[in-house]
Amino acid sequence: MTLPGGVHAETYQQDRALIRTRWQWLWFAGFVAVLLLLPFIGIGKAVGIATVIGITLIAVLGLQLTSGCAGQINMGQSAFMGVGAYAAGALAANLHWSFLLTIPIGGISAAVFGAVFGLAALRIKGFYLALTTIAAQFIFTFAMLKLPKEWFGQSEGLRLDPAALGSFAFNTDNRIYYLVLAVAALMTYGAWGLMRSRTGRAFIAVRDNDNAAEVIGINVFYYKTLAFFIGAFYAGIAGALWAYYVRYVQADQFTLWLSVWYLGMLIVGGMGSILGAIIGAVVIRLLQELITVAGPQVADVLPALGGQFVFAAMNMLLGGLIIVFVIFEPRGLVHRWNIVKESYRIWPFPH
Amino acid sequence: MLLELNNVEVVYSDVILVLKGVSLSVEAGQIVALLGANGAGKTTTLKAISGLLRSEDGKVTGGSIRFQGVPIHAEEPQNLVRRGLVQVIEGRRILPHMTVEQNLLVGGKVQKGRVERRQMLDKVYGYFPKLVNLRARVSGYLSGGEQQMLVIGRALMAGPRLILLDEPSLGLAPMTVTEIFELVERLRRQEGIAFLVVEQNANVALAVADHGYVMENGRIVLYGTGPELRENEDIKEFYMGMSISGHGKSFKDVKHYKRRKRWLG
Amino acid sequence: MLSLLSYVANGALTGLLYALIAMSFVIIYRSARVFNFAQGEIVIVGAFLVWTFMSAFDLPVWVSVPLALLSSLLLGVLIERLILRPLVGEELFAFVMVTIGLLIFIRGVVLVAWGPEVRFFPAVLPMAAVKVGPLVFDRALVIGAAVTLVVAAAASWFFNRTQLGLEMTAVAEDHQIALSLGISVKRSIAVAWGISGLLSTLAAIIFLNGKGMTFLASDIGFAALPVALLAGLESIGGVVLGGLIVGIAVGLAAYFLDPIFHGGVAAVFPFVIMVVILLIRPTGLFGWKTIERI
Ligand SMILES: Nc1ncnc2c1ncn2[C@@H]1O[C@H](COP(=O)(O)OP(=O)(O)OP(=O)(O)O)[C@@H](O)[C@H]1O
Ligand SMILES: [Mg+2]
Repeated sequence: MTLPGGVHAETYQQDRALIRTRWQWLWFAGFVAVLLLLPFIGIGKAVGIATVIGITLIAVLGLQLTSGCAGQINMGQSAFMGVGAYAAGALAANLHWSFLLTIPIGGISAAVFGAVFGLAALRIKGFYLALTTIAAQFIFTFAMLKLPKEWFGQSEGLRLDPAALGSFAFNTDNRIYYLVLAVAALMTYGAWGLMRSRTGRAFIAVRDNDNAAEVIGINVFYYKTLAFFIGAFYAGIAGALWAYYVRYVQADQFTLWLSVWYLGMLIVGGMGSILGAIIGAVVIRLLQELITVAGPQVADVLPALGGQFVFAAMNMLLGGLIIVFVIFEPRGLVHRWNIVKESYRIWPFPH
Repeated sequence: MLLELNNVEVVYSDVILVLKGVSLSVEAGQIVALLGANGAGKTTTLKAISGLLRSEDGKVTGGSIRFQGVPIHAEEPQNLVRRGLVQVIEGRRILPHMTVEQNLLVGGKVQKGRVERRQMLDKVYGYFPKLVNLRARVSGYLSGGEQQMLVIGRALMAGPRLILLDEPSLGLAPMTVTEIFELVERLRRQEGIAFLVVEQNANVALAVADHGYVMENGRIVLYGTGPELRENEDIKEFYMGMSISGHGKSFKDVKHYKRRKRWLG
Repeated sequence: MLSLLSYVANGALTGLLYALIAMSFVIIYRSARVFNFAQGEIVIVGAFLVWTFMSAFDLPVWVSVPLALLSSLLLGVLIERLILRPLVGEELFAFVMVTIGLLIFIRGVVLVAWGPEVRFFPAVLPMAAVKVGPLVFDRALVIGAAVTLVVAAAASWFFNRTQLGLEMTAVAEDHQIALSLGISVKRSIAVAWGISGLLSTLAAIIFLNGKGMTFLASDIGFAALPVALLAGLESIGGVVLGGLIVGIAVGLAAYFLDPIFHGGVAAVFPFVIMVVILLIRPTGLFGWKTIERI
């Protein structure tokens, strides 16, 4: 992180801190305040959209750790999310366990499923690995639809009661929003700490060159498995939250396309950074919302485009964005953001 | 003059200046040795000539390179091969999953047609009789010496006027090295092919070379005929001394660079 | 017993059809070292092109089909030129993402251009069933299997015997050597994309002959994926065997397991075989291993 002129770290703690200037504090505090007050100032669907963004962010952060940091291409994130949703959903719907238990268990279940692909990553590499993770998707869908009905409800899926603490139920949009906000904040902080830890550096070593990493004494086998484990854990938590948000779990909610969208968010936001995951998740989700709102109106004006215009436009937009970013700005929006930030850094004094 | 380099400068990735003004020349039918320590820029010099530099994000930023009098610094490799300038890349780079004969045929890409290609193939087999029995073998499993023969034979298939040969002795037994340099000498004599040979093994190279250059740090620091250089004290100390007594750098220490591959750039 | 035989035989034929699509993956991968995730979408574009020429423009078969084949060839070349070439030398992730982006993008374009309705793909090939003894086959499937075998034999001959094919194989092995021998790597890759586009449309004709289709038919790209991987992404001949293995295994699985699971086995089983085989041989059954000699 580059600092504005005149600001220096004087202790190691300061140097490792996330926020170091008064201006940064101010921005951060403002941001937190907006998030906390959103239900009161929010207009229209703001709270709902923010909730979905929060859940998406958690899944994308996990993908950032597996793919962005550790370099293991993962096209199964949506299936991992589904595993978390089903695990939490089944425990809640069938056994009426508390969400304080089911959400972590959802995360762990997904992590274990994901780690299996981490094991495969030791032998299978490159395109072969990317394509192998697609298998996770097909296996997940098949399993959920075919396992006994008493477990996962087969094609009918699972219906959940709201998450509850004693007599307090997270049964309104605002309440579930705060739950998601708290978990998302925690998970973001966790990812941030992880990236700066030994583990994070080991991930990057594995990504840059796994043979060389092996030579300098990094246990590549362990770290690849761990990368999938942690990434899928994030997906599982996101899935479990999703289950409590829509209170209904069904295999069709977790398609290969969702994994692809998540990868698209990484590319657009920026690979390998937490901020990149946040920017990607927020920007793409907002664009999706925009199209959902504006699409039908455009279709009204130009009926020749057909009723599927929203879906088609969404695809063209995401596909086009991915292509453009890969070719012209492979470092993602976060890179642009950093450039802009540099120039406003010592505002109001330009260079 | 067949090949003439004048004050050539090369920059990688727009920032790394590797050649800082290299001048050298090769006349038709000559064998010229290019010596120098690891990292001196020998391979870079060859790639600058053959046009392969651009596929590694390198650029000729100054000076001139002429082949048969024509400037070639901006020429695509395929046009240079067609005109008779072929590089044998260092490290015995065969096409491992293809057979010996397929390797050779690919080398004959620039031949006019099937008939010419077949004729060339027979000629190459004439120079490398060992390859005849191996023609149907998958080349990845050949011995090091056989692979070196194969890559030289493959370059020959293009019917070149000048072959740029990068470290043919790398990791080979002295007997095999001698055999290869005898072949180089024969090809020059019988086919009139000129060679620009990069070598660590200065002794062997200078034995057949008409003249040689010594590079250091991206510059030519010494020039002389083969015998002159063989008698030169510095050369003896820095290059032959090492290779004869076996002290100092061994061939195993040869660096391998991991390069960002921009083959098509 | 008879129905078991019929499952296996039909499985083998379907597997061969997947092999034809898998071949279009493999041809690109060999030259460009790129796995084109958007292959299924190119198949569907080819299908809609045939439909447009025949059903919408009312052109005769012998004009429509060559026209569609030619257009898909050009589409392949165009994609390479516009999207893949700027990325030469980039890392794997860039290629994965850009072809995924392409997949999503084409899907949107197809929807806008041809809409979501079910279209009836013209019966280019005869529809009548083929009877072999007691077994009954879809004629298009039989023709498709035969076409696959012919195309595979031709491709194998091309890549191993002809000069242009050998040069493309050299490009598959090592771009830098190919360059040093005077081969134009760019041209080889463009040719590969062209051939691959053409094969995709050929597969579309056989696969969709006389059936209803929507943009969702592009899923066939994912269905063919296990065949390509299990065979190994470099081997043309291997793809045929891979197709047969997957097809027969799926036929058997469908016969024995579908009654237990109430259907759906055929969709997931190829992926299970694929993962198992890749764990044993990480570059597939016939893919190129790195030959290491020290
Ligand atoms: N693609 C590249 N990008 C950046 N630097 C490079 C590249 N290729 C070579 N270099 C640098 O250029 C210098 C000269 O390299 P070159 O390969 O020409 O040396 P050399 O004389 O052939 O050495 P050796 O005897 O070890 O083969 C080295 O310092 C090397 O690190
Ligand atoms: Mg060198």
